[in-house]
Amino acid sequence: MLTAMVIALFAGAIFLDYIPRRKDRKKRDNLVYGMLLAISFVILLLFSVGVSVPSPSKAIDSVVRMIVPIK
Amino acid sequence: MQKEMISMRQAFCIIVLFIGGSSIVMGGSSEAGQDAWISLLLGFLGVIPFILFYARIMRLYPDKDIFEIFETLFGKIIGRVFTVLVSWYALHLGSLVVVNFSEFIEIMAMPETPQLPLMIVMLALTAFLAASGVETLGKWAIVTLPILCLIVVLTVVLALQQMDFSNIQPVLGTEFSKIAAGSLKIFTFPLAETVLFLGLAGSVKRQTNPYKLYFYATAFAVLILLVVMVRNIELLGPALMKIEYFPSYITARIINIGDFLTRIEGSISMNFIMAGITKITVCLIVAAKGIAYLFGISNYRKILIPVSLLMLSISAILYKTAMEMFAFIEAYQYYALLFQIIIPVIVWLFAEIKIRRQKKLAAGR
Repeated sequence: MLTAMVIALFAGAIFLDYIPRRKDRKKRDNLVYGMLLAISFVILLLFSVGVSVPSPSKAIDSVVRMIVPIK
Repeated sequence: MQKEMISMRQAFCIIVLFIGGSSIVMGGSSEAGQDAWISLLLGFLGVIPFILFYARIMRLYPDKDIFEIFETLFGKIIGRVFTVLVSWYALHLGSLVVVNFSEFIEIMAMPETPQLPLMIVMLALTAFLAASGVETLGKWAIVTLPILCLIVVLTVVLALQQMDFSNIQPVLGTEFSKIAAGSLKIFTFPLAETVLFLGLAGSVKRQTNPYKLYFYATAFAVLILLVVMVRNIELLGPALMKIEYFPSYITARIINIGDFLTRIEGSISMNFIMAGITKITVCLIVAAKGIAYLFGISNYRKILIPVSLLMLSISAILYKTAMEMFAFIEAYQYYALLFQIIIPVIVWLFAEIKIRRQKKLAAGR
């Protein structure tokens, strides 16, 4: 169910925002748009199928705990 | 493209709602027990010099937002390093607020619903608001702040009969180390988070006094938080405050006027949604501006949708449980200092030096 939701969400973003406005944007803008879309799609797809994606908060937490002694 | 401009009143309301964000519902520091309100006031005293730094940066470069200032002061390469850091902070903070919201809904109202749909709804709304521009955000803030204040005042008035004023005593009965720890927490979350408003600074009208704006907005937000905190302590007591994730919601739940007016906790959810939307929208706009600036994109709105989806994906993977979310605050209070103190102070120092040099050069000619 979640996977279908993720696919529908990104399909919506592509068909309602990316494609209709791609001619208004420069090539570089479209490239950045596509790159950001691809990164978020991969993360959300993995999340929706139950793959454990490393959390940035955990990495930050570990780094902070290396520097500052937190109980 | 015409530059978006907001008035001082609109900027004031945005900052107040930004600070209110999740804190109005999460109720602030609880480790200081009945002295949490003292932690709040100490946190406010501590944040004053830093908000004056932020205001000074705004005053020195009135028409520029923080990313333009980075490049003016540090050049392209170092400027972009700072841009990456601040954009990341905006993206991460926005994601944290989205998770606060989805955890709140899951714990309090919809325990069986997965969080992703809740996050999608919240982010769709904020993306729409952000795409409408900073001016629309300003108008939204002007309308919602009075409603938020009204709800806070109403819950206090309705709760008066059930308040136990002995809950707040003994004053200063908690160890000072705990009060100080609480004040650091309040300093970083939410007071000094207003550093992100520098990302919108270029949109504030030139005649605005940034010192007054930052100071009065922060003071007003602290006043609201103080009222919320004292209400929660008096109704719940310090022990219950410590074990509740969302004390404001529980406080509203126990308000009962003669079995006639009950279950007004929905009003607290409304507060959270209104202030939360403002906070996420500011984070979203700043993150999109930073990424647009990084890649030389002329208008941040062009990449607003993928940035909001990126924020959604980060929100989805941040925490597995609510306990993890609350535990992260311990690390967050140190991690955030990089963005709230170190970077702004470096920017301020370089800006002062550069402006003085320019003045000397101009005087020498």
